[in-house]
Amino acid sequence: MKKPGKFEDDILRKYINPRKIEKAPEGFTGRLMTLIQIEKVPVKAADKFRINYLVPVISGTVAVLLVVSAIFLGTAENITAYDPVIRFLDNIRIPFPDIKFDYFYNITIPRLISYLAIGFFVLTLFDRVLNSLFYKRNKQ
Amino acid sequence: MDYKGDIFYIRQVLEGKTIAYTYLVDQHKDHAFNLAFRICGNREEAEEIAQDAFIKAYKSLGNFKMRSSFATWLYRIVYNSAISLIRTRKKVISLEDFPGNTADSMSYSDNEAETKAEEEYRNTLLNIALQKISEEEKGLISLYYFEEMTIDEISAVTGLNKSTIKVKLFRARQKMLEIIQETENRNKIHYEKAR
Repeated sequence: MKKPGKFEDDILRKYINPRKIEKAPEGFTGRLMTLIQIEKVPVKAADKFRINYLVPVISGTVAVLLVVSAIFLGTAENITAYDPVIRFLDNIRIPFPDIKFDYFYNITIPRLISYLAIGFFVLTLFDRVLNSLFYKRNKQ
Repeated sequence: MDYKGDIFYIRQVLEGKTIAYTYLVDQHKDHAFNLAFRICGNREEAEEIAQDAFIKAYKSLGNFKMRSSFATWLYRIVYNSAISLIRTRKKVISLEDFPGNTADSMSYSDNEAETKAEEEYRNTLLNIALQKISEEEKGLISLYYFEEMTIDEISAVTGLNKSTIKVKLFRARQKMLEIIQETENRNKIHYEKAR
């Protein structure tokens, strides 16, 4: 390595022999590699980002999609895409919202079971997908 | 086996071949140890520092930018670890910890032995001076004189700006020369009295 000229006529050099460096003790590499084996395999920064943020990103996207589809698809008798939004705004009661409990009273057990079954199925599917994505990494 | 360059082994480690790290350790262990040793002046501590630095480097190998030098990156870890260890422990080091403390065993039986003895005497003087400067100055002296790094490279390792490094090196150098000269003068007086 080329040095800047400032200290070239350096008296201190008389006392320093750069070739005479202190060597690492015997067995240094072996001892270190034993410790290294215990450590997790390092991962690339890009992979680390993907691992850390993939779950929140997927969850966020699914949540947004569900909210948007709930707003725009609305109930069975919707006519235009904006109707549910307008109806929703119309239904807002201040200070108390007008909650219709009739819907809940009308739910029958077979209907409830079918809703729960679909819910379980969707969640299991979602869980399986996430598990297959991250299982490999966790194993490392 | 030919060393294929740091980047080659870093990539292998990142692909899961942990054993490739052995080559990187073998390649850089002596310089890392030497830097730690020059700063802390103790072999056990230096080994601990160098070992920790290699483990830290391994753990964060994924964040290493392949464009930069692995050695510089590793030295930065060693330098910072050594400085912070010395600052926290503030251990008083003994001259016996330093190498080449063989001034008493000088022999003038033949030319070769005389040259060797002289070299060892100089080394002892250097170590006495190194003991009396701050840990940061020790680090700078070590990087500049032993590792033969340029001011730019030292700046990359220490994070100090170039002009600060030049000033600190100049001061450390002056301090060391004063200490060396003082010790030499004292030794001469002792030698003459003994005769």
